[in-house]
Amino acid sequence: MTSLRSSTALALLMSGFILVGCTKSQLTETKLQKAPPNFAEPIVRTVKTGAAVSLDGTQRFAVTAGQNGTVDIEVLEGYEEGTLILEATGSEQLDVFGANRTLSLDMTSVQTHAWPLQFNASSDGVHYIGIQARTEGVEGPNLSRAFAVRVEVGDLAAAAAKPRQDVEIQATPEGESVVVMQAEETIE
Amino acid sequence: MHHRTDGSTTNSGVFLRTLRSRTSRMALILATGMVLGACGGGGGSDGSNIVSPPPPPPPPPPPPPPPPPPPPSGGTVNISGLVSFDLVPVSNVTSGLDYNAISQEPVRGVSVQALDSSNTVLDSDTTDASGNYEVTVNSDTDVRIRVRSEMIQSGDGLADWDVRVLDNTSSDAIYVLDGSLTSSGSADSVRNLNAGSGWGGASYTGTRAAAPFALLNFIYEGLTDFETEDASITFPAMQVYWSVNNVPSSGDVTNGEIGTSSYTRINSVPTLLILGDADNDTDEYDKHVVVHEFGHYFEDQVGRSNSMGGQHSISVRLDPRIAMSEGWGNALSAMVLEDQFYRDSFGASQASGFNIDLEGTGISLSGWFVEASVQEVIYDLWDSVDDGADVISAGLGPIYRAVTSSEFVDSDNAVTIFAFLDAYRAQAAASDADITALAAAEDINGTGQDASGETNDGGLSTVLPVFKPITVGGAAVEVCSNDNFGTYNRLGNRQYLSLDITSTATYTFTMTRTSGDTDRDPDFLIYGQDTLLATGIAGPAESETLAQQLTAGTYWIETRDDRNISDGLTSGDACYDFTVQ
Repeated sequence: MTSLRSSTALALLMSGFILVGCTKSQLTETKLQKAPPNFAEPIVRTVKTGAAVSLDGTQRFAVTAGQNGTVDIEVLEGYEEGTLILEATGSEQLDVFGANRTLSLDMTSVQTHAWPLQFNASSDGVHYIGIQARTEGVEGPNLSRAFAVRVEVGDLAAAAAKPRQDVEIQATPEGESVVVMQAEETIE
Repeated sequence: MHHRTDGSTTNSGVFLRTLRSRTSRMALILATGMVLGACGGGGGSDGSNIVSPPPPPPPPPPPPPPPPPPPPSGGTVNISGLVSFDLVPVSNVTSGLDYNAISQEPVRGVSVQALDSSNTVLDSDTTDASGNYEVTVNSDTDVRIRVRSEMIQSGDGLADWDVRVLDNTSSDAIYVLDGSLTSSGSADSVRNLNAGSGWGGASYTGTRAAAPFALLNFIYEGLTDFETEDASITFPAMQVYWSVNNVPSSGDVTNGEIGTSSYTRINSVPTLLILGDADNDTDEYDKHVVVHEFGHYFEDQVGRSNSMGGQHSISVRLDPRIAMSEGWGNALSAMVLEDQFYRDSFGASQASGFNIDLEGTGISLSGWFVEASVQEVIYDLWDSVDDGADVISAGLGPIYRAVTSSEFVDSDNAVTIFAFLDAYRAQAAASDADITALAAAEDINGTGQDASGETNDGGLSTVLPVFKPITVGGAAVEVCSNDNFGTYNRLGNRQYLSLDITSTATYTFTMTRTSGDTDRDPDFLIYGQDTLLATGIAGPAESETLAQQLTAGTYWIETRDDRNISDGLTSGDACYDFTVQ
């Protein structure tokens, strides 16, 4: 069984304090020098305002196009009251199915919730299940947060090798890469 | 402003550039024609025939005035116009995007180029505050107008900035908006360019060309608001990563897995990461989100931030460092946009969303550890509406001066709402009593950057004092790390010490568990003002020790249980004795 781990906001929740190029063990080694002059400064990644919710997804097994798959989502919320409404959506090439595509979670007791989702993709490649999370019954305004849970289908390398059709990239005479977008132009 | 990008000029080019307007150029042509006409009218005799002059013939009819001469080969013409973008507003009712109310708004302060058929830059300009540009090119030459998604400004009396919107999923290529390759003709002309939204009525069906310029538009608002307060300000170069492939999934940023809209530094470059995931979460038109993240850029690059980042919300008890940072971001967005309702759109067709009223969130929780309290205090200092304890309407100036002052930037403690209020008081923009009352209304009671006298413990008594004084050779100071309100960046995960060193020496720092859960991992970090100087972060143990040389000065120490801040570990509650010898 192949376990494909897909982190979403949990990585941000737990790893917002990013030591660039410098793991904890490396820092420990530095500390043993007693006079650490050059260890990396911490790099912070902020997260936009919204519901205090994070997700972590793990795909149970590898699938190919047309084959049903399951991703186990762990929902972590930081509330002691209210309800968390979750809604999963697919895309043109990714069907998310099953009765639990929408879920209502009681946040008064535990803070971690399991949420298995089934999917079926019509093409190989990386797909994302869109998830909307919204709090209700929490003091203050209801807040939302969106997630995209990554699922992998079939031959990823072959899918990634296909040329992109969605952007026109040009190189300028100076060698700079530009994404060309056409203007709505009027000439007088 | 107007400048060539290739640095070259010709005499005619320089001359004509002084005659920018169509009117002045026509005046030149007419004046030239008049001179030529006068010369032609005086001809007909060289004065050499002096014998028997014949009677003069009847004078010929005066010649018709010559037509204006055509532009000489190599002459130049001006191309001017307006650059605009489709602004999709956020609904005041749903907080979703309202595609029925799209308007065309000027693209301000961006680079415009005139390109020839081989994309060589012929001339360039920067759009003005109304979105207008003008370039000069040779006549009868195929020319394309290109608008780059960048704002670059520098010069005397101006703030300096350099902001670019790049596609992180296309090797950091810069977005450009191209007009058609069309002859410049023989006379001045106008080319107006609009960046369309790509909205097809029910979904995006075309290129979302407006998005990069919408982002720049909101950032421009922030830049110019600060420039108004300080025209000498220098904003370090910043990049904005936006793509339709940017999804709310953490992973490879080059594939668009940016986690969510955020601010960080990538390869040392200040970077805003902005979502573009249609029917899930796009943020290019969510102006409060964009300015909020710009606020993080500002505090990181111009002011000071000690936030550890990560997930947060307005109604949870946060570490005071992130409460300050996120409250600042929310308040700044409302101040810059002059809109007290922070809104963020989501979902199918971007049609839903939420809002936060900065004048009143309805949350009973308040204090120095609450994002909603911080944002309301800062917003109330700015706004012109007096309500409750808010009798201050001082605008952005003193706030800007406070967050860039030495009191704040060089604070000897981590910057929190206390350091901000301390620096704000120094601006003398309002009375101490009014500032104190405003803070007290949010149950923020301490004073000074060290929060002296704070009484609000948020329900966890060990978090007070906010900065615990510790002395060399003095008694052990108890610090605790709790997970009562969550992990990573919540109130109680960390506690802070304040240390005065009077002489340079090597000091031994020790943090030893004394009570609470076992199997902990005590860690500490030593800072001098905004600089991390040393870390005591060995693996799990009952005790952590570090020998570190320090010079005379004041330091702050962050203490924590690594198991309350790291992913996948068992969190818990424990207290420790901390000593410095």
